[in-house]
Amino acid sequence: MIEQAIVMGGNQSLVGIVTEPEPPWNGSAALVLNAGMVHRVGPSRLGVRLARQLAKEGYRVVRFDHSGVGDSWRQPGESRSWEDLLVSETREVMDGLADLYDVRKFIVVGLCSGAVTAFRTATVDERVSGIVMINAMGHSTDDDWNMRIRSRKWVSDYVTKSAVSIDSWKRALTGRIRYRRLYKVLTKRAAGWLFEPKRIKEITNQTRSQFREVLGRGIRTLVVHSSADSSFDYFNTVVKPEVESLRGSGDFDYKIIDETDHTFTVLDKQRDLVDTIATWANRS
Amino acid sequence: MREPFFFGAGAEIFGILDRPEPEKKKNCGIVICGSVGQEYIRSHRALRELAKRLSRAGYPVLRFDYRGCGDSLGECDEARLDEWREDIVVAVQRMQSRYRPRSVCVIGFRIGGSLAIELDPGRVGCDRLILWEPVVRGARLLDELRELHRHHVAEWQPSRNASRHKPEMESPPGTMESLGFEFSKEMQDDLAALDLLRFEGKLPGDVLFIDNVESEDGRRLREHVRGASPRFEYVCAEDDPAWLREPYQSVVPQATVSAIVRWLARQEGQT
Repeated sequence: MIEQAIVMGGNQSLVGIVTEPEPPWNGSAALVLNAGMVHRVGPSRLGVRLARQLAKEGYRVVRFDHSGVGDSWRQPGESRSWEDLLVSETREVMDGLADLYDVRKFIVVGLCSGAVTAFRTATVDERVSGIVMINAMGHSTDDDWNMRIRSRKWVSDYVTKSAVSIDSWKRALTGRIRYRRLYKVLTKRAAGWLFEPKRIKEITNQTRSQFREVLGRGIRTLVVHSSADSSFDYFNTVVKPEVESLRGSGDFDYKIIDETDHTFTVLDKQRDLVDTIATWANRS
Repeated sequence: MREPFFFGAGAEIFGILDRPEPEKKKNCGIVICGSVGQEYIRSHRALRELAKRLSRAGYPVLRFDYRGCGDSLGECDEARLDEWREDIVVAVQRMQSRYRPRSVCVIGFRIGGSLAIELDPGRVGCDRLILWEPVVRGARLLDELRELHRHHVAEWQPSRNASRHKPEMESPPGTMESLGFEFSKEMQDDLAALDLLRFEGKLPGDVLFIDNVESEDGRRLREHVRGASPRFEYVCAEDDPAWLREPYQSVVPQATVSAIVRWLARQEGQT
């Protein structure tokens, strides 16, 4: 395993590690993005394990920190929005790798907000040939959009867990229940069903059409979810209606991993995730 | 500016250097020895901010990952405590060869403090030591790591019996997992044998001991090592424990960082 530390990006401010491919190199590079605010090593060192496994599959792999995260520093006076900056920096790293190693095809892997960055990068950069979206959260920073989807999770938890839990009923019958929260969740959900704001529909439709466009361009896409994660609700909102047709396209793979948290903390779940991605990448 | 690189005999250790502000350059190099496992992930931001503040004050600052941790080569379950001690020595040598400072200060955070305290200051060439919440007893740390893992498995994998849980089929017998990090049987033995209350060596000339959380073990250790250094200072900095917060909840431990910057400035004034 050969790794080297580099500094990349237009401002030479992004710190990353290049893992050299185990020969033969397949000509592609894989980028492993930050999972939210966790630095490039990743939650429970997932970024390192993933990078090294993808290198074994023949990819040249870079894990790096976006500016302001981990060891990369943020340039003063930066005017781009955070979301645009993440995509720009990902593309700058691709530019750097293209210059250094003559790479023309990239797969981009992200967890949580990193998954959304991978997706957004694919919508604007034709060099992206594949993306892996692990527990993708957000898709838009709009508060109402996020609240609407989160409220689905709360309602679903009430229905699937609390309503069948003896402890919950005991608490309800003895007055030890957060009625105010229950009321808030249920009314927000009902209001959401009845009066979906126009811009929520726009966000859904825009994301859905971007998804279609990405797949239409032949970008191979792997979506992975922890079964109990909120990201599942984002996925259901955006593309669930089309999942069955997507499955048939050949460019779309989907996997749910049970009994794990948002960041795949426990090792056997991490290995399941890494194996899933490696198998997918090997077919690319 | 930061400079990342690999160093050591087989270029196995990842390090990142915060270069000093040129106009304020001090003649003291700083090596930060961090923690491992989840504590390493959670405290990364705190140690990065510490390095940034110190480099702006004129100190060259080297952070590094022990072998098997972070960006360094190897796996956690292959590591031994003696190798991590050796990594500290190599990091100090790296600082000395790069900047040739008049003095070197080692900052040991959590297990990094426990390893740094046992180094022979004369051999290593370190004359200032900052101990930030050192792990006093390795056996207690192991208990805490097991408990954290048990708690996580009970929450997320209720169908699994955590007490009988083996981390993976191919793990050697006796391997222990704590939240995504495996510790070999040998490493568990190393940690179980780690007891700073039995420390009988010498400490560098100047020592600062920092607590964020008052504990009986911490108090006993302070009393135990106070006489091992001619100039020993203690500060209780009221910060959230940086090693316990998830990265998205992390808050920079400003009181601790300021205490370290002030103490080092005083040392510089005295030389």
